Amino acid sequence: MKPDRSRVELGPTGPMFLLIAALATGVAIYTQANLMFIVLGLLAGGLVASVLWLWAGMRGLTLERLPVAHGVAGEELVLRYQLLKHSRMPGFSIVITETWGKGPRGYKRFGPLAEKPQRLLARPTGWVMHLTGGLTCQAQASCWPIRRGKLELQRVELHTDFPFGLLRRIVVFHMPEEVLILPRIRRVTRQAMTAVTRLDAGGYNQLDKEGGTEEFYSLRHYRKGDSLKVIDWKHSAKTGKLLSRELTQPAPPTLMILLDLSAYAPEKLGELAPTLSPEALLGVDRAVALTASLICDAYVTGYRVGLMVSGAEVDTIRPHRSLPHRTRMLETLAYVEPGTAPAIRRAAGEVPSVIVRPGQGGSLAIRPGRRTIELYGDSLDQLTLYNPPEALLRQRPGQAARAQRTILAVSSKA
Amino acid sequence: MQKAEQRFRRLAFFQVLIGNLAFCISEGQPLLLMLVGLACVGAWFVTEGPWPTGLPRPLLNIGAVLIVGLVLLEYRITRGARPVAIGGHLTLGLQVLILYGKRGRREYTQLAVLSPLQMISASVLPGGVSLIYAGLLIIYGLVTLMTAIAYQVKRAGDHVFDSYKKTTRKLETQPPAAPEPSVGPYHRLQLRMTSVAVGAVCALVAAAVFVVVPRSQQSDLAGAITRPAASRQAGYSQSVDLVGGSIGEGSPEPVLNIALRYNGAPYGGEGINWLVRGSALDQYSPIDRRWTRSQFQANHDLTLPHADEGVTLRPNSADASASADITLRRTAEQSLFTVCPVDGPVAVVWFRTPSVDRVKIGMLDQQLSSSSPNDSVHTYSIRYWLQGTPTRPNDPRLINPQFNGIGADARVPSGARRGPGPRRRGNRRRNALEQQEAFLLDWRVEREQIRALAAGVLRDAGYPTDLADADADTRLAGTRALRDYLRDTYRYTTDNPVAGGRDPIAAFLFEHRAGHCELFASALCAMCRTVGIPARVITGFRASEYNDIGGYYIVRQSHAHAWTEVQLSPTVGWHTLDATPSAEVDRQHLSSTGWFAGLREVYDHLEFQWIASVITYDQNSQEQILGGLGAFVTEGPDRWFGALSDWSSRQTRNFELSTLGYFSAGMIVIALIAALFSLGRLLILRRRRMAALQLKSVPRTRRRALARQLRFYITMLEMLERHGHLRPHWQSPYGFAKQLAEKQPMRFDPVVALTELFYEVRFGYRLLDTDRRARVKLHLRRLEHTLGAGDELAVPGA
Repeated sequence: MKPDRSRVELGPTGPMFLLIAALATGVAIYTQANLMFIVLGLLAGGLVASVLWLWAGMRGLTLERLPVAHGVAGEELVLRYQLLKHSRMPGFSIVITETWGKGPRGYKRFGPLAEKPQRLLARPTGWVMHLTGGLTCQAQASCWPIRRGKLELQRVELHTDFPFGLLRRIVVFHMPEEVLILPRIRRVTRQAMTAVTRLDAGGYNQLDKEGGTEEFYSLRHYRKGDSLKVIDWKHSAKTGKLLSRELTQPAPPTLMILLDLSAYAPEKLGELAPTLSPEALLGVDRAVALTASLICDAYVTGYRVGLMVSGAEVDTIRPHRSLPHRTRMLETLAYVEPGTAPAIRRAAGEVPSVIVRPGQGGSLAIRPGRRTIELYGDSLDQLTLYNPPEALLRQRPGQAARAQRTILAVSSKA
Repeated sequence: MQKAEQRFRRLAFFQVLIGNLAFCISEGQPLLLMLVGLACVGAWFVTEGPWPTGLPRPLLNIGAVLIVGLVLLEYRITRGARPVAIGGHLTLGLQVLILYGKRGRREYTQLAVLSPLQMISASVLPGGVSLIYAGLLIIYGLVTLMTAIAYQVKRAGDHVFDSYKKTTRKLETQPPAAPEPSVGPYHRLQLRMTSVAVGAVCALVAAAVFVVVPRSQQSDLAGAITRPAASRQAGYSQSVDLVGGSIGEGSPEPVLNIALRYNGAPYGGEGINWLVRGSALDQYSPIDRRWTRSQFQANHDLTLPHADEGVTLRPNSADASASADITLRRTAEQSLFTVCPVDGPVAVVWFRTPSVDRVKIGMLDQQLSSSSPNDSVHTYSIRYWLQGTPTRPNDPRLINPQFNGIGADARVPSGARRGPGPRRRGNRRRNALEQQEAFLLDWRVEREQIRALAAGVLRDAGYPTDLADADADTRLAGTRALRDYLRDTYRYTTDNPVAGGRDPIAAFLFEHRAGHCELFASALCAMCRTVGIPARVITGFRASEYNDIGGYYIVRQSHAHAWTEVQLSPTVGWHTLDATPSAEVDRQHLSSTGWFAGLREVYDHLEFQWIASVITYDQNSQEQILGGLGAFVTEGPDRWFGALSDWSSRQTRNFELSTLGYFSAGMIVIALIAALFSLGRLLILRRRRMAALQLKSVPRTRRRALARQLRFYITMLEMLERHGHLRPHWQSPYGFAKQLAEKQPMRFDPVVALTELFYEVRFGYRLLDTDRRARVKLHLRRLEHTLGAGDELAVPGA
């Protein structure tokens, strides 16, 4: 794709250059020292070289953004690009930045950085040190989305201030695209998952189905290849035919999660949902993140997981265990919009074992005596494995240790 | 990323080091140079050594405060006389301090501002005219270019990395690794080529700006702020102090260059010495024991503005002309020097000083000086009148003594602010000459003893003992006798014992009988005055070192000299006489010999060329260059066509050709053009083929063999191209084959097979043996078939 627009502005060293050039001009005129005229000429030469290079270095540049499947909130999202330089002149130090809106400060008024709360903390930025003339080059820009949902990409900005940083040429490509950002996923502590497991009749269930390795299900005729261990010698002796025992299949426990967003739901269908404050949206995101974390951890542990959402227009997903199923639930959670449907009055055939609600300022509530536990989005940090960065550990070991102790305390309480 | 960082760090260090050294050299402070060099070495060891670290920030802050304090103290001590140099000291100290600390973006920004400021201040200091400084300035420019480019390469990565770190810090996640840049092939080569191109553009623009930007006069204040600290070396002075003590030998630092011309040709050589006249000192104070220029002479100074055509002091009626182009270097004095023979009359008849605003000329003693100190290097010209052809270069008759001094008919430029008209000036000059003679005969120090000594010498030589009423020839012969007496009887030494209570001249004549040139000149002056001959002491230089390469004299600080001028008669004028034993002086002034002398001569010549072409570039040079350029542009094509037609007519005359001959010649020319065209086309095709076969990175020795083996791939591409399947130059062979196979697997199956064979030979180091050759032939045939079939089956417009 060819650039839509191009502009030139003062580079990062431009003001300093202008200051030194003004000083050199004054000194040259004042002293009439010939060496100063050479210095002045070199400064002018730097300016001319910058202008020439800005023209040549970004000439014949086309860009294509490679498709991205999805990203995860709080994790690095890598956007990839393919650049092609049609002219023979190489390009150096080209910075690739995603931007929104028009003008140099457009991204501050439009796009994910202008939303409240923000979807991104900073614009995705990448770097091409050298782009050979006539050849293609792949580059990547990283960003860390902090909210789930659709990340709308609008424009890609390429700029270079090579060779001296005096002037900067910016070319903008209009390339609208959407990237789905899954909810933030953390690893749930083992104690918390154990607490959830106890609620579900304790331990593993068995499917009423043959082909497993658990308990006796029925007898059948011996088939070639059956192990000698499975032959029921007693019945075989009675009947005179070799009979094999069939055992039941193990079934993992089922976890039905209800994401309860009914606090933000309209009273009746068709009514307008209340406008949520940024803090409330963040609370919803935390609840969704906790739900997603439970789903992922349950999938890893071997649970069959289902999902119900109250107060949002989402179809109930029945419990199942597979990777596409998990992905489907995560994508559903990514799209959850609170207040788009009334609250669920009665769950049709499915009883939630875990209810997750947005944070209400309360503490963690795990009540083993009941069949259902209630979790709040505020307890996300307590329920999930807290991995402080290494730098934080080095700088503030006390705080990190406190965080670890908190997790253990919560777990023991559970 | 780390390599780029390290490269930039080292380049920045080197840039600062070069800037500091250049400043010290420009200021002419060897001690400072040594200290700064040591400090920079220490900084390198601290920050780049085996245990790289940096001084703590509080210590650096204390150091910065100390440096500012020291600079303020220096400003107070020097009373603000040299703000540029003091500012340079401040930037120098701060830069060295920054080098000792850990350097981040802020520190590098500080260095990027301080270092050019220091070079700017170094460029306007008087010491910036040396060739060493010029070399350092060029190196500094190159290093700055490389540093700026390295910084740009690094800065883009830093920008991205900082953005990542900022985001991850907010998210409290693991900090990311430094981003790996996307780098294309040949990036090192292309970066170097780009750097060279950028540097060439900068140099060209700098040259154009230097040549084209109009020049004007330097402001007086600018001269004051860039003035050096003091006269640093022993050498020329505007007064002669005879108190005592050794005068030293002086430094070899060049003071001025003199290019003498006679009828336009270089004039001079080794062994032909000249006196470079500076100050004429006619008043001796027995109390201060010092020779100075009297107020009587100063009262007859004429201040003239410079004129483009110069100032003519006498109308030109000479047969030939001798001139001197003098390049004045490294001096803060006001004197403008003239040239005169060692034993001959004194006269300047024309001068031109385009770079000096106003010139003062002594009407009685012909002393030239500028109205303000000569802070910058500049050139000026002096012309002499000649009558007849000289028999030898330093023939005293070269200069007509009749035209000694400024005549009443001097042509003063119309812009002169002061000074009387021609008639009044003539009257004043006549009166002044009468008074001057009485003034210049005055001598009060042990007059009778000195007179007795001089009279004895004259008597022994056969001349009258009182020469007051003698004619010019007798006076000249008598003074030569006195000069010879001093030369033969007294010994030359640079030591001057303190005379105690007795006057140094009397002590020299009657006690020590040894001394330096100032004592010899003073003694001859005293002896001449006591026997009735007006005399004065002249200070300046003795030009004896001739540069054969450039054809000019180099005058150094160590060539400082003093001699005597005597008045032969009011009409004949003044005559120079050097009483100092010439053999001793020549031995002292003798430059080194051998290969070092040769090197030094080359260096001096290069430095002079640098000064003549760059440092002293002025309005006249600008007009000459631009005028020549204009003439080249306007007249050049005509001249070229004229030369071409002349050449062709000459060739036609030399080689008379018939019609058949012209036809044959034409055919040969056409064949040559066709051959050249074919050769060019072949080269272009070969280049394209190499690119298509991806052989550019293969060593040249292997290219030809591989190209021969891989010719089948070119054949395949040509076949595909004929059917509209063109491989874009950015697409890899594998990508191209895959793309075609995905479209029509059956049809383009041979392309995949041939591409695999291409990879085997090109990258797999397999030979195109018989088996592979057979497979290639088979696949090519199949491809030809499938392509043809595909075209037949293709639906038009599908």
